[in-house]
Order: sequence, then C-alpha cells, then structure tokens
Amino acid sequence: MSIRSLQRAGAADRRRHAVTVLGRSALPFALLCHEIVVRAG
Amino acid sequence: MVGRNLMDHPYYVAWGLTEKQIYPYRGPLITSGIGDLCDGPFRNRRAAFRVDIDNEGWNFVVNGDPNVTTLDFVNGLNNSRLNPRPDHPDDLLGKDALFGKPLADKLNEKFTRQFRVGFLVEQTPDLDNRVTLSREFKDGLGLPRPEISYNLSDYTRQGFVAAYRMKNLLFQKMHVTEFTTKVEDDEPTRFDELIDGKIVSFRYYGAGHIMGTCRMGDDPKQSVVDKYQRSHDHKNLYVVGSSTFPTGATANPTLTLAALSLQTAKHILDTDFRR
Repeated sequence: MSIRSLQRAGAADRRRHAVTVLGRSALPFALLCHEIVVRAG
Repeated sequence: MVGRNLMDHPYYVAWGLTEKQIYPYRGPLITSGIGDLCDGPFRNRRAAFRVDIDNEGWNFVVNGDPNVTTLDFVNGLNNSRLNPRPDHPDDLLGKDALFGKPLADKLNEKFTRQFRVGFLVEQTPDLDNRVTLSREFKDGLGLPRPEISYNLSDYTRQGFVAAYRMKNLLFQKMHVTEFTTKVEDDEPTRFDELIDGKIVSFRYYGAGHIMGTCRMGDDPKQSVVDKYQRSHDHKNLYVVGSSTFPTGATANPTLTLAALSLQTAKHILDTDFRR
C-alpha cells in the first residue's frame, strides 16, 4: 500500500475520530500500544 | 518530502590475524567498542564514526566462517586466504590439505587469532537518497516495487578516510596482520579516495539501521512529521520508528525510536483519546 493511500486511509479515519499509526518495525508499535494501555488504565 | 533523506550507518570493515591468541567465537558477537569518537570539532569537516570490536572471528567477512577456513584446510582450498600457495597467494587453490591432529592444530592456531573491526559511519541526510515507487516493476500483488536511490556524500566519505587511518593505527598497535580483501572493480558500493598520495578503494556494508524518509521537523515544507511523529498533512496520522529521524548520528537507532514511541503514546492519549 502506498503512503498516499495510507494517508487517504488516515483522512477517512479522522472522520470516525480515530488515529492511524504507521511504521516499519514492530517495536515502536508494541511500545506505543503498551504505553497507551498502561497510561489509560 | 516523503521518501527522502534515507540513511543507514555505512559500515567500513577490516580484518586480520592478531599476533597473540584472542579467542573469538566465544560469548557475545561484539564484546566492546570505542564510542567516544562520535563527536568533536572534526564534525564540521567529516563524518563521525563508532567502532565495533567484534568477537565472531571472520564470520561476517569470510562468508560463513569458521566453516570456510575449515573446508580450506580439509580440501586444500584458499577461500579464506589463510591457506595460500607461496607462488600463487591469491589463487583459490590452497597449499595444505590436512587430517587429524595437524588439521586440529592448524585450525586452533588460525581461529584463535581472527580479529575484525567495524566502523559505523555517520551518514548525512541527503534529499537525493530516497525511496520511490517503480513505474516499471510490480510485485506479485500488482503493487509498485520500491526503487532506492542511495549514495554517500563527500562528508560521509571523509569519515571513511578517518576510519581507514584509525584502522591502520589500531592494527599497527595491536600487531595485526591485515587480510582485508581487495575491493573488486565491479563492487557496487566501491568508491576511491586519495589518502597520503595513494588511491585507496573502499567498499561499504549496510548496518541494517534504516533511518529517514519521513523526516521530523517543525516546517511542513522541510519535513513529513512533527516532533510527536504526527503527519503535517493529516493530523490523525502518526509515523513511528526510525523513519522520522532527521539525522542519523552513529548510535544504533533502537533506544531513540523507543523513547519517541513513548512520547507519541502520551501525545495520542493527551490529544486524540476521547473518554
């Protein structure tokens, strides 16, 4: 999937009040999700 | 700006045999290094580097060692350059084909002295180092394959020159006999530099530290994401990882990308979560 189409997906998600997170490797996703879960409680 | 400023840590590698036994192939792949050459006034004219003192013998450079050297002395070959015939030292046909105790003694004598050093060189962010979508080639799903344009700036190449000088000093002080192989004419990463009146050919390896292409910055015209790794163009789109690094320096990217991910998580919670 191209960056452009992912950006379009992001724009679509915005209308649903969501965020899209992209990345190349698993580690930043794992850390980000863990941090959100821990902080959000 | 998406796709530009692709960076790695171009890796300059040299290897040889030490005078005394150092017993590689035991413990971690890298047991030590020299990390305090990463910064200084020299950085206004050439790239910095970090030095790995490696502990896996010649495994990285003589592809597959210790197997290659073992087969050389079993079969009378010279792929490792450790079994040369005196009159044809560069030939792949070797001198000795050994068996039993002479073979074990020879291998013990060679493997215990194999030494490799690596220099992870800082790479400048360059607009022309980029990833684009191929108009010509597609993958099995019909999606365009990536096309990569990649080269080293003169600033980065001068970092290699400094690494070469340091390697010579290190090998001299350690009494290392160098076995680094000659760079072939058709080597894809080859470049030449004039050092002390002599042309020296370099090759570089990739370190696997892919950085850049979604550069972080305050100016949307000069960058892709802001300091929270949030896209300038789409406020609910985040890009996490080393692709957002504006520069590469010499350190491995993992710890920095981990810290940035935690910062992004906090930002998403503070600004995007609706409770």
